[in-house]
Amino acid sequence: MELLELMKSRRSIRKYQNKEVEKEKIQKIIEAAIWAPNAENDQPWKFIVIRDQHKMDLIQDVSVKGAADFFFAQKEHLMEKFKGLDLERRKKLVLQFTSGEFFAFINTAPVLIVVLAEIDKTPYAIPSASAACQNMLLMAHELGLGAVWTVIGAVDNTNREKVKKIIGFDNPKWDVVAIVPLGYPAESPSVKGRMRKPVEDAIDWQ
Amino acid sequence: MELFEAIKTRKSIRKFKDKPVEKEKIIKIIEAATLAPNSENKQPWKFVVVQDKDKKKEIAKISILGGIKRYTSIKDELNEKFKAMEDENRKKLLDRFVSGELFHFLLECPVQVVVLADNNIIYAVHSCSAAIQNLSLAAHALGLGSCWTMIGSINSKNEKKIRKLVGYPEDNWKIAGVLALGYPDQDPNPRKRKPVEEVIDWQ
Ligand SMILES: Cc1cc2nc3c(=O)[nH]c(=O)nc-3n(C[C@H](O)[C@H](O)[C@H](O)COP(=O)(O)O)c2cc1C
Ligand SMILES: Cc1cc2nc3c(=O)[nH]c(=O)nc-3n(C[C@H](O)[C@H](O)[C@H](O)COP(=O)(O)O)c2cc1C
Repeated sequence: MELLELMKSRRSIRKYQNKEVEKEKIQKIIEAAIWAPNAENDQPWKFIVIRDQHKMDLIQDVSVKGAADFFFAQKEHLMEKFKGLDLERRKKLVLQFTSGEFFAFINTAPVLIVVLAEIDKTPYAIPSASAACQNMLLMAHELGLGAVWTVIGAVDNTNREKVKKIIGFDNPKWDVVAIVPLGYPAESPSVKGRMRKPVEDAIDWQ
Repeated sequence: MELFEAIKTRKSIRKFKDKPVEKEKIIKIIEAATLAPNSENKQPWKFVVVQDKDKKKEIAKISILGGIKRYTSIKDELNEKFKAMEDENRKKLLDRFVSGELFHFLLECPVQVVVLADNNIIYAVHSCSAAIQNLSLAAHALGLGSCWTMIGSINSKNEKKIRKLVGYPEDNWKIAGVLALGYPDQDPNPRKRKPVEEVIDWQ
């Protein structure tokens, strides 16, 4: 697909078919990742490819609890945010956030890729690993796969520590930048429905 | 351009033609940037497009001085990093680091884009970095070259100076990158990457 078209049509995918992802495709996705720009070409990253269901369940558990904590703390704010909805629907929606239900899809993907940044190598490990992660998501889309960058459930540092422990990278030199479920998509969110502010709002000409 | 080709052939560009960049192209690549995933879709970014000569010069100056400071302080490490080079060349290269010459491209590029992350929103830097990656790929596909730099903002005082220059002194903003942008006037050799197997851990 043409590059700009590809960027436009990429959406976060949170439902996956029950179908394995070919190893070559996973390799190709990570090959795309490592060609990202990165500070001083230190390549401060590591990609943990998880297909072990038990490990996925453990990571899911941390993420769901973490997201529930994060959104529970801003319950009032969420109620306010959705104030356009009627009370019943609003309560239900807020509950889906504050219970972590919205984040309970991570272990339903056939593959989970955890992107780690090597933070003791350069102060710019996180931006570099994030650029790599974006290449990964674009490449997944190009190959007909669906993925989503998740990490809100790990916003609290203790949760990122737990994830690191599960994958055996329990070392202060690493930080978790993204937890990316990957699989053949079982949903196709509309591209038109994608909400972005008009580009002029994001630009400041000087 | 196809994605994989764009990814594999994009290189940081540090030498530019003396030719302005069309406004439509700038808008197009920033639009590509805003299509990046971002936490809670809060779009925690601002792209300051700097074409004003004096402002560009001030930003470049801060970056060049930052480069001199950083590379003077880690000169020995650099020497070690380039030890495979022969003495003469290594010395020349080190000089270009330590004198700040390597960062003069920020002075000479027709456009700088200062990308600001709104830290009132979680994972703003992650989101902006993904956006910058879209931007660099889109620029490349349109025949433009770019280089993502951080050298000017490595020190928090300098980071704030740049933000003040472009009118974002409030501390919720954080610079996610100062990008040099323009038509490339070089075709550098690709920087090597470690073999992909080295960075994958199958579990
Ligand atoms: C977060 C970040 C910061 C960077 N900072 C600088 C910089 O200050 N000066 C510079 O010349 N290049 C900078 N770069 C570019 C890298 O040096 C470059 O991406 C790396 O050497 C790989 O080369 P390539 O982009 O040509 O593949 C930066 C890249 C990233 C991702
Ligand atoms: C740093 C970062 C963290 C994110 N965390 C989560 C998450 O924890 N759960 C989730 O469902 N989506 C997460 N997302 C995806 C965003 O919600 C999504 O990118 C945004 O709503 C825009 O939608 P789009 O990707 O379909 O364009 C995250 C995105 C980024 C960049």
